[in-house]
Amino acid sequence: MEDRCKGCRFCIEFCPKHVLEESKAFNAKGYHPAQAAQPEDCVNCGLCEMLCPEFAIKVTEEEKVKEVVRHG
Amino acid sequence: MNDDGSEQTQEMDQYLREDRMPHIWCPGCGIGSVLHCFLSALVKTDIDADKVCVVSGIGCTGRAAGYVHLDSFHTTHGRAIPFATGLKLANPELQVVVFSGDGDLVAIGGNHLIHAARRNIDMTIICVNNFNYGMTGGQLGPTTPLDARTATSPSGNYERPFNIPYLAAASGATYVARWTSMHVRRLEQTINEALLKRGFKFIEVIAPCPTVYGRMNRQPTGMDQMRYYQENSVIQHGADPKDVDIDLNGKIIVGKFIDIDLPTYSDLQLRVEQKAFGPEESKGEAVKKKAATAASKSK
Amino acid sequence: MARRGPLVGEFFMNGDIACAEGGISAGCRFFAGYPITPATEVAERMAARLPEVGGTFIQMEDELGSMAAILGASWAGVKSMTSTSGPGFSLMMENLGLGIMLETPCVVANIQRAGPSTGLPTLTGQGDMMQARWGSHGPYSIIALCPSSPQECYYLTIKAFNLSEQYRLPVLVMADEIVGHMSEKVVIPPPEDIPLTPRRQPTTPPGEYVPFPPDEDLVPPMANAGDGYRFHVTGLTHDERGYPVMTAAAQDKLVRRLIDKIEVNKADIIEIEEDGTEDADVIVCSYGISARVSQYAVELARGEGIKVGMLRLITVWPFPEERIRQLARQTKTFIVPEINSGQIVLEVERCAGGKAETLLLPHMGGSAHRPETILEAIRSAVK
Repeated sequence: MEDRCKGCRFCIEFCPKHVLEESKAFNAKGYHPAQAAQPEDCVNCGLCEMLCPEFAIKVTEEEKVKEVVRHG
Repeated sequence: MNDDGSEQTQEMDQYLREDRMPHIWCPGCGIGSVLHCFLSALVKTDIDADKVCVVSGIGCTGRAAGYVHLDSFHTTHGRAIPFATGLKLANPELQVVVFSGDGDLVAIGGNHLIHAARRNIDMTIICVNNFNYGMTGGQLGPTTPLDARTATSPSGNYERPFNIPYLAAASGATYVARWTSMHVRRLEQTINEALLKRGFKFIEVIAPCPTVYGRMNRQPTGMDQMRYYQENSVIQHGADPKDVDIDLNGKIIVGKFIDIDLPTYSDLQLRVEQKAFGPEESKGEAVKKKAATAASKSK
Repeated sequence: MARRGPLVGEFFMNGDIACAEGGISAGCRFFAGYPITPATEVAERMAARLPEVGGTFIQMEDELGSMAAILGASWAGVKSMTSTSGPGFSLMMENLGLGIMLETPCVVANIQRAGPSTGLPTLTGQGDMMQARWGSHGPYSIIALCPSSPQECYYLTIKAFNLSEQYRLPVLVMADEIVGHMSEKVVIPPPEDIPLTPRRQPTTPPGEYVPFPPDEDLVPPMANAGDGYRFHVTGLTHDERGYPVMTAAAQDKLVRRLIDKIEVNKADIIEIEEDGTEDADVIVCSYGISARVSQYAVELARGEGIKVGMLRLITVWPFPEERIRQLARQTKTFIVPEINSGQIVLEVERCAGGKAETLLLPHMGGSAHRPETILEAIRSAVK
């Protein structure tokens, strides 16, 4: 279930608020998965989630902080 | 859409076969995005998921049937549409969706496509068009633009491609639309609209194939092709399908081109049978009534 | 026009029509086909009758679509069939394989004509018998029944439906143009007197259901689309969950079961008709229209005092290997008249294992054998 991100960058490039970036770390498949650099800027548009071909990214709201949670 | 979207996500998740993740599609491939749009759209329609059947053919896009937690059928190359026709006519309550690729639906499956459109069989076709036969290594297909390089056109393609919306419309499809996999929200909305409509609905989705087609045509990453879509897509709702050809590196006209209402195959069948056998209820009528009651339950 | 349900009574009808009525009596309520001589009458009869019994008929754009459509209809829970002849049969082969792989009950009637290629469209042949066994690619088993009369066209179509539900696969009715176009008395019993094999329903609730764990007889229960079982089926080699598994081990497990479910249950499937074979010096082994002619030749031969037996294959596939092996030890010669260049004779010869002679009487097609030809062969065999 983990480590689905394949580094395609769709979410990073299309996020209207530039919330996401490529992490320096590698996931199990050797990709640099996307991570939330500025989660506080997330406006919950859900584009990252829809665009992701791997079903690897979800937008969730925890209390008042909107956080981008990724699978692995 | 809920404010936090999480409930929607959870609902959509239940339509994904988590036990089959990760899927086989390449990094940067657009099929996953299209599948996501389809599942989100399905959730939003409130259609009874037990009645939804996904039928696919052979090819990368055809693998999508294996990832949906719905009654799904991964059939033979080009034959998803007639298989789906059998499903639908035998049980009109089923909501039948064909999810397959350009080669499968338009080359080997071309004959079945035009006849199902002609008959206006009530089903939804989602045709992912990545301009080549990806699964087998990037050979040319019926939509490969002129001059494109593929595994079977190493010096450039010299076969004129189909303009699929034109083909579908000319064959009689009553709903024809095209988006790219970048247009996720609009695609989701279009799929939603199509699922709730009766008739033969055809949605073409242009999607990246970075590993073969893209690599052979100077667009080696999914992002290269997505950027190309972003810069070259032109939304023209109601455009005449004959004008929406796609040239290599040319403009991509997207939008909803055809949306009309015509009697379906089953409507016409019912009309003839009632005329032949009198106004007593035929099986078609009984099932249609049942389907109408079910549909009215789902807004 | 009045609606008529399944017919009941005595009728004078040809084999094609009887085949269609057999389907209707068996509960077939979906037909997808394409016109082709000499099978067209099956489709035309279905076009007229299915609306009367609440079924659906569709004339598809080709035979590939027809075969695909009947698989889809079967998965929707409706018994389905198609009919064709040689050229269309060839087109159906790929999807026949899909039907076998997805374990889909349905019936395909091939009213054979003379081939190869376009051949003699209006005249008989029996040249598709090996194709019936091996026409689709890959290893598999199949069931094929051969009617010798319109009555049998009716009865064997019902049997074909029952076998297809019992063993979950497409079952072939291999008729031929003469049997298809000849008109004879056909007795159709009342529906309550026709035993029908129901589809084997899942015994697990939807949440726990997987599509392919076999019962003891190697056949898995089958869910219908739309009933909430949320199954996935694929033509790819798959496991019990229906998911593709691309390994030799999975291939072995699955394909052996697809073959074994027929082979292991052969005794229940095979139907043959024997007359005077126990102490025969020569046995005429035939099927379909050839068996009709053979029967007459055998009677003439017996009139001359020859101890000749008649073995009629009603089930050609699976082939009755055991019986041929047994008879080979008792008789001297098998004579196999068939309207092709020698297909089922290969099976007879193989099973005879050299213990009896095998004599082929080939006929390339266009008419049936003359009884004299078979009689002459019988006489020569006992000299």
